[in-house]
Amino acid sequence: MRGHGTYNTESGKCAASVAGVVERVNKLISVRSLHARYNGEVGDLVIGRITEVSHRRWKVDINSRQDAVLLLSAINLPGGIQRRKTDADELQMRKFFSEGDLLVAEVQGHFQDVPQALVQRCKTHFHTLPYGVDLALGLNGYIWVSKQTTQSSKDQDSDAIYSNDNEEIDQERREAIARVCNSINALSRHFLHINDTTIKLAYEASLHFPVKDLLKLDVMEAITSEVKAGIR
Amino acid sequence: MSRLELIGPQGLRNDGRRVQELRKINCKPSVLSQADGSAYIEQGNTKCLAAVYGPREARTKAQVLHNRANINVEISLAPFCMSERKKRSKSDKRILEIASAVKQTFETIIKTELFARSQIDIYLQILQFDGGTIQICINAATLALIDAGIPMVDYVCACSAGCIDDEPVLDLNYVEESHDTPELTVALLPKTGKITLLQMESRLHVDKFQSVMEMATVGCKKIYNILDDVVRENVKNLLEKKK
Amino acid sequence: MPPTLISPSENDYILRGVDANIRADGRGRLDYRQVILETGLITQASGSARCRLGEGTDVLVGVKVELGAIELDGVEEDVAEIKAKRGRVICNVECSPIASQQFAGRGADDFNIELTQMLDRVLNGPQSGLDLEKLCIIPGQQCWIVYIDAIVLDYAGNLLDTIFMTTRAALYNTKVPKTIIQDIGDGEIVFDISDDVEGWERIEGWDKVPVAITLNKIGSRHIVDATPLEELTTEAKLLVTVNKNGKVCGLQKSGGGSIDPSLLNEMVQTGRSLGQSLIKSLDEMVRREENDINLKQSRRERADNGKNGSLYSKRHHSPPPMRAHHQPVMKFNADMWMQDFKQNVMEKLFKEERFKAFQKKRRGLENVMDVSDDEDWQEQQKITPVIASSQYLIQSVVQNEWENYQSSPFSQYQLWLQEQQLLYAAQQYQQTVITKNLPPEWFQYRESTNNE
Repeated sequence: MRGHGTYNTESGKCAASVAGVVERVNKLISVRSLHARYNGEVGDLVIGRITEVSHRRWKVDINSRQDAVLLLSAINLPGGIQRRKTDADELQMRKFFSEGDLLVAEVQGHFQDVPQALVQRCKTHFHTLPYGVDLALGLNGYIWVSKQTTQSSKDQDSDAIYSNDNEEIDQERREAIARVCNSINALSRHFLHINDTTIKLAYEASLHFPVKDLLKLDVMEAITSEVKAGIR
Repeated sequence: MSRLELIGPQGLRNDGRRVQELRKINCKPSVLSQADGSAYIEQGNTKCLAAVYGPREARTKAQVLHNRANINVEISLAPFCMSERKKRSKSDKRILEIASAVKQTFETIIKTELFARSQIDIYLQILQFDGGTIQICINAATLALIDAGIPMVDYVCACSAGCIDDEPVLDLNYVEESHDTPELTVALLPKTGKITLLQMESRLHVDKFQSVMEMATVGCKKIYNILDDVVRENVKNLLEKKK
Repeated sequence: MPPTLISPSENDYILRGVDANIRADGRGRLDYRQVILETGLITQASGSARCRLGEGTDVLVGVKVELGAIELDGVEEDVAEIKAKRGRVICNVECSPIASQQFAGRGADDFNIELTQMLDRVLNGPQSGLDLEKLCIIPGQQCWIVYIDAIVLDYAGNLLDTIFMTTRAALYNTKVPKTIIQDIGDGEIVFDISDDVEGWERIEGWDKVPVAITLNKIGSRHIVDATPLEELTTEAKLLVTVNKNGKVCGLQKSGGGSIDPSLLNEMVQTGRSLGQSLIKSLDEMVRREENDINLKQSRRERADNGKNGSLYSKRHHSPPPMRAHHQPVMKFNADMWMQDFKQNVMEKLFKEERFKAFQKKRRGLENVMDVSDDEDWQEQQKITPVIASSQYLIQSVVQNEWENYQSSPFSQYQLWLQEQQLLYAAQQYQQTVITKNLPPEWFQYRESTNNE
């Protein structure tokens, strides 16, 4: 039986159509490519950016082969969780999400299943790093790094979810966020897995250098070799 | 133009190669940061950079095909790529023709039915030109598409061949091309040996045709070996890093 | 894909980050990304260079020096006198669709024109630094035309600075062929292009070419070397071109926002000092690179026992193409290329009708050569850019309000003090630009000869 990344030749044989690794599960053979665009699975956490606002739905760019669709009925509206969507809501769609906004979402529709190579599926994708930084690892390759939220979700005012105001972030926190971003960048350049363990290791390794040096190639190499050593 | 000997007394061509020798190929995938797939290839002194974006959302509604992905190819030549500096517009007829040939070649090779309603863009930039536009564009595009992970039926390798003084020669450079050498460009799928592109613009005696074709086919297979090695090595390196 | 959209929260994050001197990637306001420079990549061009900023913006510049006629049609007398003795510079910038999807099709046209104009204004202006008179072969008839073509291969913000840096390095790499001028009597002058590739000289004045610093105003602060997201947040941009003597050669403000006059002055000063230190490190980089190449070449020569003739000892100036790297090169290559080149040139000249027309007119132009008593021409040589006068205006405005600013603790003055400290730190930092020991996978366009 043949899975993804393969096709049937005229002579009936199975051939690979991408350059990658062969995966064999029982009788199913598939070839997983290293650089594919994101193809989602149901239940995946992704981070996207709104590209278009249309009638009762938004088009979201999630770094995949097509933009995803976010329906008005799929978001939490202020004033309670289950509420009928009225006409007023339709007219005010821009109040919730306008073009260019970023959001975290879960895939509910059908796509083909070739996962983005570096971000692994694990139990939870929301992490809090001990340096006061919150991390949301989207499976589509987009990652959201932010300051740690102090409120629990129950107490949160539902209106505030859609506000565009940022909380105050102090100097150290900003540095920590920048450091985390640069470490993630270094990991991806050197093609290492991105999960909370590797990010923590990379962060620790990066503490030797000032934040802006993390953009240099040799520094990135040093950090990634330490991470590799740490994993083994 | 002065008549010069394209094949010297010892059977060596003007750049020191023998008649059946390919120019030295140097290629490297994954060279750009923004593109989904990219490749850089040098064949002798011709240098080409390819970038592939896709599959992604089609930019205009008109380009959307309901059952396949739309492929878009754009080629640009740097003004300093030839010995005489000349700025070529994007709608130069010759360039458009080559782009169209590349597009048609890849339409059958890429498994477009897997990506309905999306678009795959292939951009090629020629930095230095010393003969063999179509062949280097096709080779560079193949490498870039593989790097982007777009499923394809097979590699497409292209090579040019010609006939000088009744002898079939492989991989013509600019000097040879401009001296009225009949030039045949062949693109083929190495595994099955099928030919996807065949182009010739000058006169060639039908008796010689067979040998020139064979020469070009052999050249394509050699190029395939080189490209395949590079791709395999690249994937191996990346996998090792991941571990 | 470089975002053309940005969310308000990202905007706010960047704004506050800039204020606190920690940008999204951890850099300070005046920190540049790592600059990587290579020259001599395109053998067919007279000079070439490629510059990469960090892992983002990538620009390739090719310079070609070609023969051309001096065009004096439709030009007034006094300007014609000057033009007759100068070569020309023609610039062109092209954003390849490889750099970004937004440049596909006709998307880049406007942007290309804008960048070309900016480059052109500096390189064809009085402060360009290039010695155009040296490029003249026969006054009034033939000159060298320098074509500067820039291709943008990757876009991650801060294009103009990179283009200028690369142009400068490419000009360093450019060699102008030597011409032998003969007076064959009867008032006729002909010239021949010297075959001796080694004797070609580096283009004069490359070191006086200015470098550009783009300062982006975000909030009430300004930053250097913006990433695409930061560029989307800028209200106004100021381009300052500085040459190695610290003279400001041009100013251009773009963007919809406005800049306070005192802030403007600060930005100019910042641009100026940053520009000077940038020039120093760039020059050091290109010189070091050339030394390395020469070392390698001499080592290889000795190893080959002279198999490769001396024609190829200077890699970038060997006659173009036509060699397979694994074979020793035939001597008749050089001749063939030279023949080819000359024939192209001769054909061009033949077609120029002006050539014949000027031959007739030539007798009347005898006295043009003598400028010692021409006062206007001397004056014109001293002209500084028009924009300098507006800088003067800004200066006076600032002087008047200086007392107010100095006294207030929340004034720009205090900010300025901070900026000076930052500048100093940034300059110290810039000295340590690293070019050696790049990881082996680092991509280089250069021919395989470099991998030895």
